[in-house]
Amino acid sequence: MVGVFLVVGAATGFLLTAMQRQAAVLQASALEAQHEALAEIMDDSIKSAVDFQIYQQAPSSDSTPLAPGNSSGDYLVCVNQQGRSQFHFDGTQIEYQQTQGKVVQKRFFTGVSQVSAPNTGQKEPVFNMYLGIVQAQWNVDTTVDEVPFNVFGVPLQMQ
Amino acid sequence: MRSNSSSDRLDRSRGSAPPLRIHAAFSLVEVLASLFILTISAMGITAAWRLADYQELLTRVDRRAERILRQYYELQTFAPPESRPFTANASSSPSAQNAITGYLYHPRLIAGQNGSNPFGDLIPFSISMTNGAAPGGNQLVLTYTVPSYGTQASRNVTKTVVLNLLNL
Repeated sequence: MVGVFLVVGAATGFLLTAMQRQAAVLQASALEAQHEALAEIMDDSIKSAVDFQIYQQAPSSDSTPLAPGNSSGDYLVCVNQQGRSQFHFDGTQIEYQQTQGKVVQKRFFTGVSQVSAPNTGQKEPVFNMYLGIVQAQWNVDTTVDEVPFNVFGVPLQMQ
Repeated sequence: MRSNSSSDRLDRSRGSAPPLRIHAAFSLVEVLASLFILTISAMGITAAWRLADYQELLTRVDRRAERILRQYYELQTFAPPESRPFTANASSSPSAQNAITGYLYHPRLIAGQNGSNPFGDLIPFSISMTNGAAPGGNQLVLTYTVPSYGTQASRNVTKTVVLNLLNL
């Protein structure tokens, strides 16, 4: 009888380890799916923008037209007919804030790290205009792997 | 094995020999049977675990391949001509240009396994553009190799997207 308990106990421990590993994989998959949704939102916001800017510091005002920005930075602001979308990388996560009239919605996407420059190894800002189009590049560090994300888009005013 | 003979116990207690000590223990058959069941269970769970991991990896890699193809489509379509990853060829004969390569899977490594980089590179992919004069001849082609699993050999997966000729 004791032997049966021993076997069942060992098998249960093994099964729990397997389930824990599977949970980590599912968690990673879910995080990747969330960031895929963020990439879609970002892509739509950039393409439909009638006004956009990239900033290194938080934009001082919400007025339009947007104040002149920078060629790269951790803030991206897009204004389209639906309202205003702001993306901000704060060091560990990307905050997405959508403003439609007086309604403000915020979503947070965690597990973000910056992409390193291939030559210098220096951390690059998430948003830039290096190839003449708006780009966003970030990595998602999940429990099992690293997933790179790249978004390229041309706003309406540049097409 | 336990001794259940009460007469034997009685006889020994009456005589000069010390009384028998009763032990609860496993027989060899019990131990072997337990080991067998444990081994079968471990093999079954490991096989199921590996299969689930493999299927999950295939799904994720497939989504990533589609995402990368979409990214290069955007770049090839909307970036200024000098920044595009591939140049359109006006010749009528189909041709493939130099491919861009990368990896679809960057698993987290055990500390110190790959120097300072905590992530490895697995499942290589290549993306190239084929030129052709016929409609739909200009395509972005992404190819990657699915790793083998059990008796299944590794196989190549190809995904294509047709480019808009007006933007080339």
